This record gives sequence, C-alpha cells and structure tokens, in this order.
Amino acid sequence: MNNKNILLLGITLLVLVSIFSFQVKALDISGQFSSRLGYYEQNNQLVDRERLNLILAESFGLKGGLYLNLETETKLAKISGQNRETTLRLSEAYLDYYTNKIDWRFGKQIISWGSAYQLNPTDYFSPKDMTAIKPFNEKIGVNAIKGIYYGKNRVEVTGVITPFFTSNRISPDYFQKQVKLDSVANTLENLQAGIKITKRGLRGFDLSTSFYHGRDRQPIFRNFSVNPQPPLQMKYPMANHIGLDLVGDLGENDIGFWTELDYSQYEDNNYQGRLQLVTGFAYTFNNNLHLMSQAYHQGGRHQSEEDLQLLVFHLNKPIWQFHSWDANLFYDLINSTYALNPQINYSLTGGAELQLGFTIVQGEKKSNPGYLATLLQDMAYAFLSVSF
Amino acid sequence: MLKHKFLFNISRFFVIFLIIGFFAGSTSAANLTGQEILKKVETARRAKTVELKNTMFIYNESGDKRERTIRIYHKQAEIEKSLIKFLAPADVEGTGFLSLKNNQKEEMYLYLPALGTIKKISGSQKNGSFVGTDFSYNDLTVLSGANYTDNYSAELLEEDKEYYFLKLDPKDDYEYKFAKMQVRKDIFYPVKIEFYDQSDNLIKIMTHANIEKIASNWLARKISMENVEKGSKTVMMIDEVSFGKSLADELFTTRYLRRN
Repeated sequence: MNNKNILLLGITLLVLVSIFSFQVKALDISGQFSSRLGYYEQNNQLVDRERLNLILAESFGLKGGLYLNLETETKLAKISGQNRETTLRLSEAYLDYYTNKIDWRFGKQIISWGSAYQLNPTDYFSPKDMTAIKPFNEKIGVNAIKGIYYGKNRVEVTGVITPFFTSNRISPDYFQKQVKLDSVANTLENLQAGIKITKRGLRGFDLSTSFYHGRDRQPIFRNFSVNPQPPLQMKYPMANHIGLDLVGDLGENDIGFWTELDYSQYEDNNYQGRLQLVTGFAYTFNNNLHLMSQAYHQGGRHQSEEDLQLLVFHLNKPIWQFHSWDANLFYDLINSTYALNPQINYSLTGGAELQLGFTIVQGEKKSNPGYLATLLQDMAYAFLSVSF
Repeated sequence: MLKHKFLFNISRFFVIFLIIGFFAGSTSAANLTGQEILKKVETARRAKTVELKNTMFIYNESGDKRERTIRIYHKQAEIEKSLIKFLAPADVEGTGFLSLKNNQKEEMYLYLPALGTIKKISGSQKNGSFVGTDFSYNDLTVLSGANYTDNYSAELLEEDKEYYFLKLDPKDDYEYKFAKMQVRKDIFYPVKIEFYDQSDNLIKIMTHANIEKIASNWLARKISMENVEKGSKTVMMIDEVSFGKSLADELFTTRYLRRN
C-alpha cells in the first residue's frame, strides 16, 4: 500500500471517528462485496477482481447530508502472473447542501447525464472504468461542484464544474507499446464545466439542452502523417459541446422513446467537428418481456478516424420468480461485426446475486480505438455481489 | 437494467395498490344490481393523503422467500401523486420512484442512487406482471376504484348476510376471461377476487385480510395474491400508516426524489 493510500485511509478513519463521536445514532452504514471473474478467450487471460465498498451516509434532513463510499479492490490480471494489485480509494465522498431553490453537491461524485441506454453522448463528466469486465456499468467519481436550480414550471438548471480532468480508466495493455498518451495537468485551463437546462412534462416529454467545455475522454492521435514514426502520440482534445436530450412516450401504447445528440467543436483545427446521435425505443409486453432497440452514430474527429455506427438490442425477462435473464446484441454496421452477450441473474438470497454470462463476437473484428473495442472480445464471466 | 425494471414495477404496483387499498365505510343498501354495487365500490371515498410503510413477502413455488420494505407517500389532488422510497434490502435501499398522474397520462421517474441520476420511465412498463411478484397490473385494476365501471361489467351472482358475490367481465381484451369478487356489504370493501382463464380454470386468488378502521378509513393490513397455477404467493403487510397527513406538493418532485 503506497503513501497516498495510507493517507486516504487515515483521512477516512478520521472522518469516521468524527462522525461516530457526534452523530452515531443518525449514521447509516451499508456496503457491498463483489467478486468478478472474467475469462478472455483471445489471450487466454483470467481476470479476478474482488471489491469491498463501505458506505457511510449522514442526513441533515432538509439542510443536506454527507456521503462517503470507501472502496478497496484487489485485482489479479493474469492467472500465472505476479501482478496482484490492491487499491484503496474513496470512490465517492461528497457533502450535500440544500438552499431554498438550489441543491448543491461538493466533492467526489458520479454525475450521469443522458437518457439513452448505456451510450450517452451528453454524459460528459464521469469517466468509465474500461478495465472493468463490463465497463458500461462502471462509472468513476470525479471531484466536482454541482448545483441544481429548481425553477417554476418544472424547469431545472444544472451546473457542474470539475477542476481536474479525469480520463477513462484504461488498462496499460490497451494501447500498443509504440503509443504514448499525453498526460493532462491539473491546471485551471483544463477545467471542465457544463450546464444543462431541463424542462419536464412538455407534452409528456422531458427536454434537456446542454453545453459543455472540456476534454474528450476518448484520446486521438496528435498527428496524422502518412508514415508515422513511433512512438505515436495521442491526446485528449479540448472541445466545446452542445447537446440535446428528449425522452418520453409515443402513442397510446406508451412506447418509450428517446433521442440524445451531441455536437462537439474542437479547439485544435486539426480535428473536425463531431456528431454523436442515439435514438431508441423500449416496450414491455404483457408477458414481462422488455425489449429495447437503439441506433447509435459517432462521427470521426479526423478523416482518418473511423465512424462508429451501432445497432443495440436489449431484452430481459424474469424467470422463476426471483431470477431473470437478459441479453445484449451490438451490431457494428461499418465493420459488419456483432457481439452477443446473454446473462443469467440468479438471486441467491435477498441482497445477494450471482450473474453468469458470456460474450461472443462474430465478424471482421476490425480494430477500433473507441471504447467499444473493449466489448468486442470473446469472454465468459461470473459476478457475485452481496449487499449489506 | 433488469433490477431497475424490477424496482419500477414494484413501485408502480404500490401506486395502484394505494388506490385500491383505502376505501372508506359506506352505508349498505338493498336490492342493488351488480353494476350498482361495483359503482359503490368505485366511488367510495378514499383518503386524500396517506403515508405508510409496507413489507412485502414473495414466495416461490419451492417456498423460498424474498422480502422488500418500502415507504409510500400518496396525495390525491388534481394531479394524483405518489412517492415511493425503498428501505430494504440493502441492494435497493435509497431507490426512489415518483408518479404524477394527470387524467389518463402518467409521468414516472426512477431515482437510482448508484448512478446518482433520475430516469424517466416508459409507460409501457406497466404492462404485464410485477417482476418477482404474483401480481399483474390487470389484477390490480380489477379492484381499482378509478376505472371500474369503464372497464368491467358486473353481474350479481348471489348474496348472503355479509357479502355480495359479483362476476366481473372485462369490456376489452384481457388476460383473464372473467373474475369473481366478494364484497363486504357493510363497507363495500372487496375481500376476495378469483381470476379465471379462457378455459374457465381458476388461476389466481387475491385476498384482503386483517381489515381495520383507521382514522375513518377501512384498511386491509394484509393483502395476498396466490398463483394457483404456479404455486407461488405474494403477501403484503402494512406496518405503519397515517391518513390525512399534510404532504406538501414539493415532496412529489424530482428534487425530493433525489434526496434520501
């Protein structure tokens, strides 16, 4: 355990002792243990991750609250390797303060924007843990100040400032060794800021417009020469974004509908403006089958960067009273590649669940530097989670 | 995703449950037709606001049990509003559900603490049954005071000193062919419903038990749904209840949905 972790643990214990000293009766303690095992067929690799989250929540009623999520994780990336890593971190730690019209949140927090399923062009702030076995479900908290103003007629204005840039968590093996990724300094010029204006109940729809200034979490090559010499340099480009999000029901059958788009304009003239668009529908049938379909487009930021066009289908259905199955199908229209991911969710007891699933990939398997590349691997996994 | 759907379904169920659960007392009347009895059940006065804490026990055909505890706030006004907070088990604690119903249009939102976000939910998720329970939405609308006579025609099969026995025929397509309802004469409170399939086979039985009068409102402390076909059962117990409490409109907003 390094010095940073020891310091973090010390601060956490200090906070805990303080809370216990003053407000023991109101303190809510909960947590989760999870064990995740994944086997990747391509490189015959076994990944084993155990995680323990201890959550401490303290409510100050109508004035606010305090929330701490202390996480310790141990990870073994290769079955025969020596590189078991143990990490201790505060995955979230924030203070809520409520005024008459504004709810403030200060500290490390997960911020989720957008109504689409898993692929959210307007989800600007919280990066994803791309080292996770199922990275879509793993968001990382960021240090931020967030304020939500609640106006008349169900109008909400959300403002967020994150002083430091946090990239997606990427495995060191992800990029080729000839690639060098720029680091981003924690300076004022790298500050990320965004605002979202939401009108709810607009003929049954919620409409949001958002603006964001900050860096892409998906890196791009610095130079695009015909014969690049290694090491190739990549960076997180700075951009201004404008986004739109519409969600509601269509028709008398209440078919769920959403569309979410983002257009980004880059400060570096080497890159072209990029459009991301996702539109989807969802419907639940009388037999409990839930069906979701979604189309996603992500333009390239440079003529040499490939567009990404996906069709996404998701189904789920309960079985045997407490259990369920679900399936995801991703179809890459450009590369004619699809990934199928069926999964069984088995409830062991109240608060404990076992998930078993696999992903199979068929098609050309062209490499794509986007984060979806992580999904396109043949693999099998088992997740166990116990909440307390 | 499925867990979200499950939570939504459970939440949506309790919103409807609130409608059916709190019929007030009424005077009995003689020589009523089935349709008139149904109308009396439908129009019986219900509490304008209610706050309650529920525990739900779900049993599968093997007798295994799951338990969920929730707190519900409901306000009957121009817009019918409900806020539901999940208290247990730990994996769903803090999850919230908000429903705003204006005429036939309903807006529904789910708050997921792990994501720190509010999701607007498709109305079609009210189709079918409640995941992990033996209730379907249609089971509940059979008893719902909101649209009884619009959706069902009632025939009085028989009566005795204490009960009316009605046969309910759906006016539109329905997952059951018909249902039989047993109604208490003194308070026009449904105590038992039997559901039959297209082959006239009994498939489900819903019962209201431990009926008490609390603050001028009749309340079934225990509601059970038994699936005769599958052998499974869901039982709901009302642990705490408060009628007529002043609940501010601000409570039924996305702002308060986010709060613990």
